[in-house]
Amino acid sequence: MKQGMSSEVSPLASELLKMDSKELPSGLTMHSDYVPPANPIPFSRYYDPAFARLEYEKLWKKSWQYACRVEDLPNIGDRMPYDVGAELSYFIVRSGANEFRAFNNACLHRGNRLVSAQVSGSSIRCSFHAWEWNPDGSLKNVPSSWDFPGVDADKYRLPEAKLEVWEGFIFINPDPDAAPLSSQMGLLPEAFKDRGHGDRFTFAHVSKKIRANWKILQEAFMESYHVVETHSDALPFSGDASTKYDIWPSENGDISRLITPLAIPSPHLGDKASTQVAVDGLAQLFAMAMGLEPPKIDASKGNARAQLAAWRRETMGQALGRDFSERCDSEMVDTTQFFMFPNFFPWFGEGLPLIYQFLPYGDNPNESVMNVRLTSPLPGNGVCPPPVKINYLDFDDFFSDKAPEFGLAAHIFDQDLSNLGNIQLGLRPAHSAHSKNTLGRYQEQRIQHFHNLLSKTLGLE
Amino acid sequence: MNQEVKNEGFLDTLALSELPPDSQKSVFVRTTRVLLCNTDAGLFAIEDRCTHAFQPLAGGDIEDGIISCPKHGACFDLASGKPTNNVATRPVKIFKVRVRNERIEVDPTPVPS
Ligand code: FES
Ligand code: FES
Ligand SMILES: [Fe+2]
Repeated sequence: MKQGMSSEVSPLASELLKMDSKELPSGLTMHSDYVPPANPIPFSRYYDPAFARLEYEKLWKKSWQYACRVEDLPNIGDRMPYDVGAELSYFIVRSGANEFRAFNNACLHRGNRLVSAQVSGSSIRCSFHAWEWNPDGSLKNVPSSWDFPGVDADKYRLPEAKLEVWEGFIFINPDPDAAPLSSQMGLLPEAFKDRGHGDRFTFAHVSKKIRANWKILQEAFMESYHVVETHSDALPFSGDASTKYDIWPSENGDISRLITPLAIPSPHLGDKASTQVAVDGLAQLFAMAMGLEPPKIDASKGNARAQLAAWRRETMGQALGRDFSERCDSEMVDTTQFFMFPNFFPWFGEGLPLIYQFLPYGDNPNESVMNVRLTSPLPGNGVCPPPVKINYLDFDDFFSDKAPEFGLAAHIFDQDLSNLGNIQLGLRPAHSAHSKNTLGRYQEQRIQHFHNLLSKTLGLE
Repeated sequence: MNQEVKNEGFLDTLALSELPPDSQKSVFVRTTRVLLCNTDAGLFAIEDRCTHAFQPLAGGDIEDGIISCPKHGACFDLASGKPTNNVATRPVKIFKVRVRNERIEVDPTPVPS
């Protein structure tokens, strides 16, 4: 199978990695030849309420899922909700210096939702009749307790879901019989060896409502095939068609990765495209993001990416007071994204340091939520800055208008999101002979792989 | 006195000779990409970003003061930025533009729509 398209001036990502001026970390040396079998993906998966129901029962109620990050909850008693549609709701609370718990987000008295936002405080108190719990889930107070003879502290602990922390990510699993998180992570720990997100913090956080099924939304971020049309202004500096895609099935779960190299022209621009324009275009974006003058890079020397990476190591090192000298060119410049089933997307390196989480919204399979974070390496003094507030964007809001904290990424998200409502609108009216995906064998294989895993999880094979 | 104050807020972009009649050119005004259009109906400066799918407008056909986005056909009035068909529903930002000493200058603050 052909693995991407190159041009004279734009080698494949796999070739660029070999030219790196530094030693590559395991997250970039890993390679897999696995190709997922091509099974049909009917459009009904994206709108049928019965399919959404099946997902709640067999996927969301049974899987390990990333809920939030430890830096969101710096102090004991800090808590925030984690919702999957209208069906599952938990809140995560820091119950000790290094202890977190996930509780059902419904009062044991008459069901009132207990936590609706990021809040602090040593007691979790219901707004209806003031029943109260401690951060460890033990019952603290029931007003007029004489009236509730059957309510004893033992039976009225808040029900808890399983919780594990990996690299600052808090995962929960509603299934009391679930195997440990490691049973679902596959090679993810190896991929993030020496480059873990435990060494990073969130500095911007948006939660955006979307008029499309959560899988349509998620799949829009799993391939770089759409760049040529959806992000055409990025072609001068994006190796879209030279992207490397890999999938690793393993006994302990499956993961996948894409590496889209930047600072090279798109192979779609042909053999004569300018490598100078490519590196200058990206350098300008990086410089604007940091409020600096762009570096002078001479592409005729043949190592433009390495020159840009060197500038990144130096300027980021100064800004954060830490040493990036061991970081390779690719991780300073390129966009590398990992995926762990069902909806967890930790990015790798400094090119586009994001975290994605895509979830169903409310009771409607035609709507979803995109939770996206921008992250940074921790400063050299190791002190994590105070947590950022979640910026909630409604269906009709745009990142460019409402989320300036995302800088130039806001424009890119607006481009991506402009398609989504229309994709959802096209699914049901599609001709019966074509009411299924037709996927690119190489460039869209991660979507195929995701659906194969979904089918297996839902018992549809 | 800095450049901006001297120019009442306008910023220098191109020499007029670089934008002959019936041509267009995308330039950066601070961090915004702006499309300068020299048309029969006059000189215009419009944000080079279609409000349909946020792609560049550059290269779009211009007729009677209306630019048509080369991607999916959204049309905008160059003078007001307002959409003139239903492909896009939000206006594109427009900027005041003038010629002084044979140079094209743009006011970086968009005209309120
Ligand atoms: S070209 Fe991909 S959905 Fe139409
Ligand atoms: S981006 Fe302009 S019409 Fe679609
Ligand atoms: Fe995209």
